[in-house]
Amino acid sequence: MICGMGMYYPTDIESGKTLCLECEWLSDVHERTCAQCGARIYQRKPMSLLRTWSYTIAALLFLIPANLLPMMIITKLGIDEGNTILEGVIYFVRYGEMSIGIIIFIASIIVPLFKISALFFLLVIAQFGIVEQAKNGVRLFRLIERIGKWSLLDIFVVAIMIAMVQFQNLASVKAGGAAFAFGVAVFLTMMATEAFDPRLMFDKEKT
Amino acid sequence: MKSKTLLYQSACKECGVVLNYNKSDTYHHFYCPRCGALVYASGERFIRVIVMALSALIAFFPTFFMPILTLEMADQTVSTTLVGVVMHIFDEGNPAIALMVGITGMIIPVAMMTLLLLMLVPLHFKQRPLHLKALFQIYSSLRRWGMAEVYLISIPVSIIKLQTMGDLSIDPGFYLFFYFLICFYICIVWFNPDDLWHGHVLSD
Repeated sequence: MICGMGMYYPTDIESGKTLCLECEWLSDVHERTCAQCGARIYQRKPMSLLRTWSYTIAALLFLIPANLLPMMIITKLGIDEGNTILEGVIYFVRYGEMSIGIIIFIASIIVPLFKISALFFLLVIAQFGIVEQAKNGVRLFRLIERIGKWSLLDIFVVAIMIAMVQFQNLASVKAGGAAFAFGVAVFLTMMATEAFDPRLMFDKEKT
Repeated sequence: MKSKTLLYQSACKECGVVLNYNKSDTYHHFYCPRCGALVYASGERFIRVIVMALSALIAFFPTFFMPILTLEMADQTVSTTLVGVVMHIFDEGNPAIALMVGITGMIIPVAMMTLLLLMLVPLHFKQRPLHLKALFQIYSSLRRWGMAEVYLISIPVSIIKLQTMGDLSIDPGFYLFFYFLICFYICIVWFNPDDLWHGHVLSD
C-alpha cells in the first residue's frame, strides 16, 4: 500500500492487531476483550455496512412524515393551527427573525438531508472499495459525526413551547406527528454514523 | 510492553494505520499521518477536571427547582423548569419525546459529570477507583448522546417564538443552566481518557 509521498503505512489488519475503540489500546488480533479497559473489541465494527445501510434508509423514510406532518399544533381561542417544519421557518422569516429562521432551516432541513446523502456516499465508498475517495470520505464522516445532534434542536424547541404555552382556552401547544417522526429520523442517522466504520473505506487498498 | 521505551503503539480509529508515538510527550496533539484524524489530544490535570465537574453539578441541581422562563398572557402566568418541560410532555401523552428530551438534555450530561468524578477523584488521591473499567465504558458510551448544548440553544430560539405570544421573562434557572453547560463543555474538552491508563498517577 503506497500513500501520498510514497510512504508506507502498515494497517492494523496487516500487523495482526485489534484496536480498542473505547480506550485506543492495541491488542493482538486473537484477543476478544481489551486488556486495558475491558471492552469487547473487534478489528472492524461487526456488520458495519449492513447496519449503516439499514439505519440510513430507515432515517430517510422517517424524514418523509417528519416534513409533511405538523411539528406542533397551536390552538388559539379554539382554532387549531398546525405548523410543519418548513412553515415554522417561514414564520420566523415573515416576522423579521431572519437569523433564527436560517438556524432552524439549517438545523432541521439542511443538516438531516446532508447527513443522509453523506452517509450514502460513505456507504458507496466502503461497499465498492473506491479507495481514492477514502480521504474525502473520512473528512465527511468527521463532519457529520460532529453536526449530527444539532438537528434535534427543533424537538427541544417544540418541547419548551409545549411546556410554556398552556393557557387552557386562550392558547395551547401540542406536539404534532412530525415531532416524533423527526426525532426518530435524527436518532437513526446518529446510530448510522455510530455503526459506520470509516476504516472500511481504506481497507480495500490491499486487494 | 516489551521494552521500557516510551514509544506507545496505537492505531488510527478512522483509517486503521498502526501508529507509534512518544508517550512522554503529553503536551501536543497528534494527528494521523494518513487520514488526518486526531489521534491524541493532551488533557488537563485531573484536579482541574474535578473542579469543573463539581461546579457543573453544583450549578445543575438548583435548576431542577428554578424556573427558566415565565410567560404571562392575559393575567395568566406559566413558568417552567427544565424538569417541568419533560414532565408536562410526558403527561400530555408524548412519552417518546419526553424521554428523548429528558435523557439527552439532562440525564446523560449529569451522569457523565458524576462518572468523571467517580473515576478522577480516587485517581487524584493516588488510589485505584472501584470498577474503573466499567465506569469508563459507561462514560464512553454516553459521550455522543449528551445534548445539553442543543437544549441550551433551543431556549433562545423558543424565547423568540414565545415573545410574540405574551410577556416573557428569563428566570435565573436559565443562567444557571448556561453556567452548567459551560462547565460541562470545558470538562469534556479538558478530560483526556488516555490519562486514566497512562497517567503519571498510575505509573508510580
